[in-house]
Amino acid sequence: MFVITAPDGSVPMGPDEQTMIVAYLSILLIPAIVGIFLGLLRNERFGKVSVGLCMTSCIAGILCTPMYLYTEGFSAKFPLESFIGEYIIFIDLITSIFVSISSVVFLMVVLHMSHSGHGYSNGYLALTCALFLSCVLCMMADSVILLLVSWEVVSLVTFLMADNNDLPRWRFFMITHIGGLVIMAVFGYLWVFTGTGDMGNWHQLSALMDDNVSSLLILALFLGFGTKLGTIPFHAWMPEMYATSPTHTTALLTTVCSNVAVLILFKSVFSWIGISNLISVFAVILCILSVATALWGAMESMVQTGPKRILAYSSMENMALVTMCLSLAMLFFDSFPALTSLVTVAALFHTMNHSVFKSLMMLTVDSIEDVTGERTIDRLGGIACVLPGLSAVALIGAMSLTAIPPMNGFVSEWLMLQALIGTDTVSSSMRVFMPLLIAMMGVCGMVVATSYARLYGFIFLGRPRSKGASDPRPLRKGSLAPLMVLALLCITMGLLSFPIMDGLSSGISDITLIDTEYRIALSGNLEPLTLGILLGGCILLLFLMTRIFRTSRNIDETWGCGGTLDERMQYSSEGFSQPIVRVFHPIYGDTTEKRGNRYVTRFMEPFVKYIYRPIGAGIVTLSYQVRRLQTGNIQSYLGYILITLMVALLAVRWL
Amino acid sequence: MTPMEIIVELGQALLLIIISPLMYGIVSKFKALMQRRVGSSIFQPYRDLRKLFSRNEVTSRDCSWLFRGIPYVCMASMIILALVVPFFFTGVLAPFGDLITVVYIFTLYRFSMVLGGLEGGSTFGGMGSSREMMMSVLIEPALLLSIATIAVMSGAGTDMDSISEAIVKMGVAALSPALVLAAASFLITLLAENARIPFDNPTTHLELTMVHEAMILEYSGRGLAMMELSSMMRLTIFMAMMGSLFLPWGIAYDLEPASLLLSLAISLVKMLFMAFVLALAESILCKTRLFKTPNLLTVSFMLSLLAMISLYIL
Repeated sequence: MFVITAPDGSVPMGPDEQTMIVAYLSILLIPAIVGIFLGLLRNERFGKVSVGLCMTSCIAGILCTPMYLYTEGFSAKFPLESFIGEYIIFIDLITSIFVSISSVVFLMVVLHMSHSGHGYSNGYLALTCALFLSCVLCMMADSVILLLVSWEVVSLVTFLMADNNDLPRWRFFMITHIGGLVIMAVFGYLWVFTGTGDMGNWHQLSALMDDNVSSLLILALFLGFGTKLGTIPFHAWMPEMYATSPTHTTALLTTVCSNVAVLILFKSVFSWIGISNLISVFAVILCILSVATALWGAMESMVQTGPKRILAYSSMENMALVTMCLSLAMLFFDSFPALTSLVTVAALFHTMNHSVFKSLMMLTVDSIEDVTGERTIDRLGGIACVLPGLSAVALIGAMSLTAIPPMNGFVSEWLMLQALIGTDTVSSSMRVFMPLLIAMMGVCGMVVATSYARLYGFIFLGRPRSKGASDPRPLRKGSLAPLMVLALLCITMGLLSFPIMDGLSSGISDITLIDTEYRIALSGNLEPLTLGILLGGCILLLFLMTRIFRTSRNIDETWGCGGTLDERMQYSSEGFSQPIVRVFHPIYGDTTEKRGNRYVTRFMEPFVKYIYRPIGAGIVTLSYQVRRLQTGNIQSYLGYILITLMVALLAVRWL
Repeated sequence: MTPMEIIVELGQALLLIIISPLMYGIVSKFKALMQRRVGSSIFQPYRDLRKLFSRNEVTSRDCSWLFRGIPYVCMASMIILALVVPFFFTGVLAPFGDLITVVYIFTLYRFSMVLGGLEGGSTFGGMGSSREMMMSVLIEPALLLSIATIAVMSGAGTDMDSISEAIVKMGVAALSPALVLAAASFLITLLAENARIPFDNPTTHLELTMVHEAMILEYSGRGLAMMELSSMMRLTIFMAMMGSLFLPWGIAYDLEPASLLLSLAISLVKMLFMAFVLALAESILCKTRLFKTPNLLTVSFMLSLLAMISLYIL
């Protein structure tokens, strides 16, 4: 079956180890493949089996890191071959960590999916298996053909999984495929350049290349993967697609697919292509682009009313912070090894954290939609009284996203700020920009906090604003468990963040030239575990103290200036964000108009209005012009053929 | 860490917590004197708190478990901050966090208070929360930049227990434009964060001016006491940070009893001076319109940005 080899320079493997790896890969891949085929059958029972098989594969995926630790990395060649190359996978530490965390998230989403009562069709379940398979293979891929094929499958499958909308998913299809083409072109170029599609032979190719070329390749890769990560102006598909697809599709798309994109981007930039001297110009461009994306994502997420749109824009912001870190890493690469190490660890750790807390929030939103039947936060409220368990796990997710200590989101933002304030940064030539980046982090952080306080507050707190919210159905059995696991993961990844980051750091040094200890660049210390215990202990102590000296508590109406309040008298979500919108009016470009007896504020997407619409309109106009050629008259077609022939012949003659 | 050090550090944290109502009282007293009133006693806040603590609580029927938990979180976060902020001795008891953590713990405090405001379903709470977030979007970057400035300027990094010592040891050289600008920015941040005039008026309950008070309107009894006490602690912690990080001269960095006593006296004088400045500002300024406050906050933001940039250019 598989041909297993140890990574270069290590001891060859014994037969026992080889058998074990073959067994592991079989458990990882075969159930998902069988799941795809079972899902194609119409019988409902097969659908359940397919979900079970997908979960088996996910559990095997979680074991990827233990497997790496046991074998210290291996590469495996598939028993398949095509005329354009072999299918090879390679497991290093970073890959295994990413596979594990993505599998955990995937498993939880699938668990929630199977308990959600959406009644997904068997086809959808087959696609889920296919998505898992393609994501895992894409992360592990070590040959160009496998990488490109699985990347394409990821895009196609997510496109197919967004099955109840039309325009948004075609927009997604177009934009990600343009990105996919760019990526394909880059890898194709590298393939021709090296003469081999086996990426095990690609190490720091930029040393052999012209600086201009390698820098352009990296820029192209950033933009190509940026289409998936929502870098402006390629984010146009995100909000609509997220808002209209089934929530589980969105949850997988925003977490697992982003993990894949960031991992491949990281590996290709820092391991396969490598950093050239010219990169700093491009890195500055990418940094500016990322900062703009982060600000735009944060700001827009604050004014949306659909929970999934809020999450979509906040994904943009999070991924922009990651690409900002990666571009800073390119900037610092030459002269500040410790700092480079620090920002790459921050980027990868933030990606992992993002996949955990974002899937938690997405699944929460799905549960809320399920129990109340409402899709905008303006019609929700008061859920915390009825579903305290759900509100508690959602609070943990919201706090993680807002980077509140001691959750995991806080630690990665802390690392980023450390990199910006850090002692090494002071002597860099780019230091004048650092204050601007710090300010950006501050503004983004608070706007995101506003956005999540708003999301959480309007869903869970206050009075119910609609019938569905005042009398929600009970939660489906078993749908809270995956959320609890994810919430627990948010906390543990925060408390135990340093061991995880040490692992990431040593993984980075395995495959790239970044081999300095990242802790050298830290100028302050943080012990999330102590902080968490102290904070929890303090709260507990205060609570116990008030238990001892008890006073009674009465329940009464909310104070309403002597009158009675109804639920329409609460602040609306639009009103909540209004002060910030008013302060940042020039950026939002919002217009308020009176419609009947109420005022409506509209926000425009300038990228759609000024970039996509004109391009679309131009293409339509052009095709109308072209249509005039198509007269349907056979003589004119013969004339076209004649003219084409003449031009072609003349061209051949002259060239 | 020696036992002596631990005692001193625990002592300064406790002192910080204990004097916080007193500082509140002193500010009110100064204000009263400036307005030629007798004013209430400087110990009045303690009496108010004791009264509130012994009262029964009334909560709204639309409030969830979170509403009851928030006062504990607010108190706990301020207690944690009291442990990490140096007051009259540079060492701190709990070196688990640095300046950046301090900023994010303030975010924890603010986030929970804002959620508390959204509870209960009254109009006031939402209004206060919304305004608070508007201001904090501009406060947060200024706060981050001003502390980043002193972290970089002192060359000590972001560790709480080495910055003040580093700045004191720099001598006159520390009086650079960077420090002055950062301190000015921090002062504006202090006013804005603690809901003082000209950003907010803590003594009124008028809906046009309410920000902080609107958010805690639904609390009563013990919950209100904890919210009030934690907001007093926030003011004191900000003042202590101003005194020990931005104007650290006089702070003790060894454990000699004489220098500790001297430092304690100097720190208390600093606090009194700041209380005076606060009262003066509140007496001569008036509460600005809500949508004019961003102008002032942008000034603070610009000052801190200039501070950081001047550090790199000069």
